[in-house]
Amino acid sequence: MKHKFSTYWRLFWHFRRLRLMTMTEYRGDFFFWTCISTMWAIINFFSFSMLLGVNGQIGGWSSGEVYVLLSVFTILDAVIWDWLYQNMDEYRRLIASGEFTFVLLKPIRPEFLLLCQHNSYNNIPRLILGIGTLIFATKSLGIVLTLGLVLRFVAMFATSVVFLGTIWFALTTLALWLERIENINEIIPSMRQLWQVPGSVYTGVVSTFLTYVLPVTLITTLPSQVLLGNANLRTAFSYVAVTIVAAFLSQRFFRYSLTQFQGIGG
Amino acid sequence: MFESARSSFFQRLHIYSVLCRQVFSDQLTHRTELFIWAALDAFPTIMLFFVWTSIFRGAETIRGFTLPQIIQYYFLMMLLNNLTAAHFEAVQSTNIRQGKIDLYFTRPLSYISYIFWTFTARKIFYFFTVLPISLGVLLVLSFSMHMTLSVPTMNQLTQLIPLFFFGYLLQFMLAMYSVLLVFWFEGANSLEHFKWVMTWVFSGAILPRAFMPDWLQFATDHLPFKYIFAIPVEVYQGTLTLHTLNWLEMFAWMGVCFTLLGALWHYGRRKYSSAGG
Repeated sequence: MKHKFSTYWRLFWHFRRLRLMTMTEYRGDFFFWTCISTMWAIINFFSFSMLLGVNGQIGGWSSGEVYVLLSVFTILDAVIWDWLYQNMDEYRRLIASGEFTFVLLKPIRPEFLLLCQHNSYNNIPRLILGIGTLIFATKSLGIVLTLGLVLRFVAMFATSVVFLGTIWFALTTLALWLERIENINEIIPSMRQLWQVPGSVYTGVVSTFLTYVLPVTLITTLPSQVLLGNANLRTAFSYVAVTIVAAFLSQRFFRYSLTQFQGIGG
Repeated sequence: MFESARSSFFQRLHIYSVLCRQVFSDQLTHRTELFIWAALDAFPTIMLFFVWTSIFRGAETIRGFTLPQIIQYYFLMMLLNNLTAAHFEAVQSTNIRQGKIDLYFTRPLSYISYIFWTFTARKIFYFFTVLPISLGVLLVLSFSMHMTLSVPTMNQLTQLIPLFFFGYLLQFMLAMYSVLLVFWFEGANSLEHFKWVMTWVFSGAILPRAFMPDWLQFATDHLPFKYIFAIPVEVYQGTLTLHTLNWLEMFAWMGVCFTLLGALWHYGRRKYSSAGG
């Protein structure tokens, strides 16, 4: 069944309002998790400030450059925990319980429901903290944030979000094929540590694997390099191309995997 | 009297062994999940290996540490973390909140004992799961980074074994505090994050004590968390020998922790109520 873009747009904002209502209903929970997410973001900066204190560089990146990368990481973390994690965890739960049938019965694309229905607002302070430190770190490096530079950064950051969402979606779709695995949704959050540092930190086979086979180190490195003005144009275009191909394949894999679902939870 | 004490001892032993068998069979059912956890737990340490390698580029030693020594430090920390870290807080605090612990008030096994023995059984099983993974990592590290592990001397062993049990009990009790605080605060299960932060910052998990800024070293030296990672690794690496003062400090902290645990359980039970239906 085909729907207009406006239908999806209206639904998208309707879901956001519903989540806002839930948040105001559980205010204590919201307050507590907000504090915790902010605390982790601060601890993250603190940990790296200590590592940088040893000799002032990590992987050839100076302190200021590492703080730009950490800020990008913090913004991405807010997106991961507030949006991707919420939706993917619900997707896994729906498959395990057999309630996934109800998603398929709705007169709307299941991919849209699975990727957009849920979110939380607990990480908004983390997002603000990330944006704040990013502005501060770029200023301290003498980078002028022109509109063109910001747009290029946003485009590269959006590519990273789509890339991450794509591999996470494909990974969770595996739950339709495999036995019940409760922690399948914890794989991507645990891998976050890999893109918390500049890609140049990795060497040898690991570097090749994390740059060309599963380019997770580019997730934060490329947007940061765009801001720092030393991004490799060919790598950036390849990354965008890989993301588009991955998104297409992930969608095809989802459609094919639907044949595996029998509507029985367990 | 001796006979009754002996039969009571064997009865308890039987209960614990049944509990362990149950946990083993449960863990075997979820073996794939267990392997995934074991692999995922290694990511932070892998990242730190590479970060330190990049920090050491062009330097032989930094603050008395060579690169293989630093890699050894983080490898041992990862092993200790795998063997002592507790992850039962979320499940157990939900059990309390939903009134599912009634049965422990009538059984010949207290709630705390139940958690302790299931935690121990899980750790034993987990040890055998992570062992091949750790050996694989060790092999890779010894070839790529020239890291070696020597057999500890008898003197080191007499310090390392009590240190391991101290760290194990400390991690268990810290986790229990966040579980038992659910009797008073609904969102207390989130307190486990505070436990992780405290352990991460003050135990030497981010940095060895030699690299810490003065204020952090001061705080670390006056808190018990250092006995979880930093001190055992330093003893193994031969840079520290425990003195009487260290042993006294450990016993004192253990006493404080046990008293606090007992008090929380004692007063928490009075707050507890549940209803069937």
